[in-house]
Amino acid sequence: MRNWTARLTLALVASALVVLATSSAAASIVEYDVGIDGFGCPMCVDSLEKRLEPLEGLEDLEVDMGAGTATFEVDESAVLMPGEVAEAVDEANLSVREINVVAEGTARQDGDEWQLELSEDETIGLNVEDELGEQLEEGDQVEVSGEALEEGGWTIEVREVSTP
Amino acid sequence: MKSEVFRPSCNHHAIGSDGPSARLASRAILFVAVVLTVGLAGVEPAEAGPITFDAALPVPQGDVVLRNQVVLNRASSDPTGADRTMTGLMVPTTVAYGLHSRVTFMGMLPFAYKRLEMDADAVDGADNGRVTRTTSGFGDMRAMVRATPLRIDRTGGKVGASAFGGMKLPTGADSEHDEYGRFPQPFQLGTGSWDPVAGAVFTWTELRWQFDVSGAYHLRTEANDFEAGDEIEGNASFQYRIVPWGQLESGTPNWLKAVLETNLTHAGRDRVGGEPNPDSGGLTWEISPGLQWITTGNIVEASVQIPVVQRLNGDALGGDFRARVSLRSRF
Repeated sequence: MRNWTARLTLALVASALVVLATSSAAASIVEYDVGIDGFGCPMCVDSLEKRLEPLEGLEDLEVDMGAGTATFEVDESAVLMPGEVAEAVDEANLSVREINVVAEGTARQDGDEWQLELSEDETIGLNVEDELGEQLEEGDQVEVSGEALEEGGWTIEVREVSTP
Repeated sequence: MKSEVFRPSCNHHAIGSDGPSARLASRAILFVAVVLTVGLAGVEPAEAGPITFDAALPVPQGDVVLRNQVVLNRASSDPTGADRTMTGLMVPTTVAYGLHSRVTFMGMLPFAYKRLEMDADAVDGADNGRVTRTTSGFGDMRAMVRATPLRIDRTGGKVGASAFGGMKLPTGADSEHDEYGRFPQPFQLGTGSWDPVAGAVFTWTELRWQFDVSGAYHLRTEANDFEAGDEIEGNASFQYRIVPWGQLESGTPNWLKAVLETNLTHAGRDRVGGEPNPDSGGLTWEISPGLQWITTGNIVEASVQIPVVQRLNGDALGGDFRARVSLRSRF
């Protein structure tokens, strides 16, 4: 009897841990390093900050006018897509040179194509070379880093894959 | 488009004229040619911008830029014996709104105080000292749209070209008088006429300096039996960052820029009752040293516009200086 009770308790605890682990799995583009062209004076910086800061989940924004970069993190509960960042930069009368990201989510395979599921509604395509693709498994939680490119839709040109 | 215009000519004379329809046709062709030229050339604003002309005023999409200026000008180079001195205190307010990242709407309404002093015998023929005539109030409003078809952004700079077109609206009083009679038309606060303008701006911006050049054609139309001469202008502005000096480090410090601008204007002769006034119009070349203090939200600037060359027609009144302070704020 005692044995059954122990087994039941263990099963419940394991289930709870699985549920907890699943619900807290990070799924977002968590870091942005955006190269920006067109800075001319301090008002450009203010103009850019005014448009980036309202974006959902954006934290720790730093703009370097000399280097032409804006770096920030995104709260894991929010999904901020590269298109929204590019649109904000354009509205500030500036241009995106490149968008480098770190993204976390669930790897999904569709034929030869890989995608990263960020939420129930949002996925982003992954452009992965064969060697890196071998590190991906359907349904795995992964962290990828690379350059976000707009090629029809937004994709990440993956440079690095790891398990968070 | 200049941020404000001061035309000191106050003489009226009448001599022979060209055929009015031929003259209007040739001016219309010139105007259309300028519009087409600037439309093809296309320009982009940088974030700071020139002091003495507004056409390069930069406005990101959805932003409102408010520019308030105080302009003091004086014209006293009088080749006649009337010893005329014209003093003007203008307070033009410019509002610009970014309709799109490449389209900006601009409106400008000036408040003006004008004072004209001259020997009394020039007014009533009697030798009884000096006469002073004054007027004040809102002048003619201007509305303008600027499109930026060409914009090339680079790391730490940008190049752009815009075309603009607009209209001066007859909102200012144009038939004021005092005890000596009706004011000369150039002394009125408004012209009473609808006057289109078209032009182009080219801007080259680096983090260290900025260069703007603009050109515009102002087509004047007739009102109150008076027609000011058409005006063609060319402006250039060079702004150089002196604080902080050298390469920028991280962060966003305020900037101080030294500014040197030049303005070349050619005005045609005014026409009174269809006849050209020989004592009006001519060529003016001015230079304007100035300073700009640029923060993330505001620009405070000042300059003094000094005529270098004035080849004015007949007895037209020559300008002395135009001093300007300005505050630009973005919302």
